[in-house]
Amino acid sequence: MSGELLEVEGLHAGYGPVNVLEDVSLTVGEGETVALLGANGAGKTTTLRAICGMVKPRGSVRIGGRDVAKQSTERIVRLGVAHVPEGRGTFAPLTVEENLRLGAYSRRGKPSFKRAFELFPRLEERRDQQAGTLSGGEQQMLAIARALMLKPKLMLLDEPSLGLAPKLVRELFKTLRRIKEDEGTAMLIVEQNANLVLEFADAAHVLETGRVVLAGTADEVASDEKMRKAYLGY
Amino acid sequence: MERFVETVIDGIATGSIYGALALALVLIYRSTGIVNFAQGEMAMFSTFGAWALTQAGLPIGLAVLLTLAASLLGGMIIERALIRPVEGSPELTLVTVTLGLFILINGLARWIWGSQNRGFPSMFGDGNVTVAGVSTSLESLGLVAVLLGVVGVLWLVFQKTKLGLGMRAAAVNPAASRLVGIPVGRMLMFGWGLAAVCGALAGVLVAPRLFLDPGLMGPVIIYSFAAATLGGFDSPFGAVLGGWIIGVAEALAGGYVDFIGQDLKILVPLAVILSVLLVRPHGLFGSPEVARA
Repeated sequence: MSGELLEVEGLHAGYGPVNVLEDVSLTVGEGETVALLGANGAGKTTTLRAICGMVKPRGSVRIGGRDVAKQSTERIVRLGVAHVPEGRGTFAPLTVEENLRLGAYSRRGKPSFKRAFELFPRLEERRDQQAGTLSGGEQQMLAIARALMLKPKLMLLDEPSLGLAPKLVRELFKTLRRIKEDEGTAMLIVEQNANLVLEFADAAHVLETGRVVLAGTADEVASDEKMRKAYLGY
Repeated sequence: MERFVETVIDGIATGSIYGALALALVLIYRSTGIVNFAQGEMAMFSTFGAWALTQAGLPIGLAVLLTLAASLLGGMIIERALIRPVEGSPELTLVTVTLGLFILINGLARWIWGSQNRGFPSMFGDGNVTVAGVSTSLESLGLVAVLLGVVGVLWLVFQKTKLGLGMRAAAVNPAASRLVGIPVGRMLMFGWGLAAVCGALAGVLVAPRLFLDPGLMGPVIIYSFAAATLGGFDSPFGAVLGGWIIGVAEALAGGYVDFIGQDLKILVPLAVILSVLLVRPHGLFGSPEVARA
């Protein structure tokens, strides 16, 4: 067995008769950060959804060596996979603290908010506020803090910078770097902001119409001629 | 004046029964968006169960407790077996399924127990208390106490337990709930179970005041629909208050408005439903539906 945390091999998935993914393979090692790049509609979000069982995949998805392709989302979460969905998926009418509690739902015992509040002091101030009243940036903090409550081995982040002001985006990536360094959490990040994510990722995969067209270390991908023209803009 | 106060207290007592059944409707509507037309029949069936246990020689208190436990289970089974397969279907399908369930349970009760009237013992005895010239039955006080107890327990479950938090989350955002590891299906099942318990309570509380037969909950469910509509279909607090308002309105209309009397008072809830839907469709405490254009 290799030491990979997440191994996706020959993954096909789609919605009804529409196939979105064709034979996608990728791996994420323990503590590794992998970026998933590509244009709109390339299948990035679907890849994340297939990994956590929100769409039924064909092919193999292994987490820590266990085949989870047929498992329910709840089971996969219990293996330590936290998905921060596009649009954040916060529970708007519930309070910030309740949202965080829900992040630790599949863990036993009393949840500790210490780390979440350390990384995002803003959330502690707004602890008793309804999540729906937070600003966009604060909601994104909450979504990531909630994912951390699981003490995940692997975080799936879907466009974490979407809709955030440039200053907030930089702060967000700084925080993700802290999480990577201190917690050693592996991450699979879907991101439009290719420049930023390639600075911080170890490896990257580029999807085009449901296929991986380029894969390698972040540096390799960043220096690829075609990639630079298409996504990095120089 | 005494007569007025007595009428109001009586209305609140009856309203507590409507409130309990309205609470059942709200619990299911909030979590699944389904209006369960069979709620009253499920309650009637539970009440027959309690009656059968008393016939077998059990004291009424124990019979009711066993019935509530069985109702919890029964509600969960109904959700799993009949509702889960049509989850997410168009509203017409869901309405058809709960109406079918209504007919099924009603027919089953008639087949098992027949259509004749039966007496049902009260849990509270038939004493009276008189305070400052106002006389109320122990039963009325008991009804109000039971409903307040139910509301208290539900509040504790929903606000203070992990299970309750999971149920609220599953109701608000099922997709995100799965992503944090909440077994959404089990939450919905439990919601139906809790609703069946509230309904069963309404049944065993109302049965001593009427006669027990398969048509027991017919009038009650109409008042409860009015209560839930008035209070707001997604607000448990509104359901209880709505129940009381409807109960008092019914008692006052029946007691003071000559031409209404006992026969016409069923029109009270219908008038309430109609006016709420016209004036304030989301009820007193419900959240209005907002859609972005």
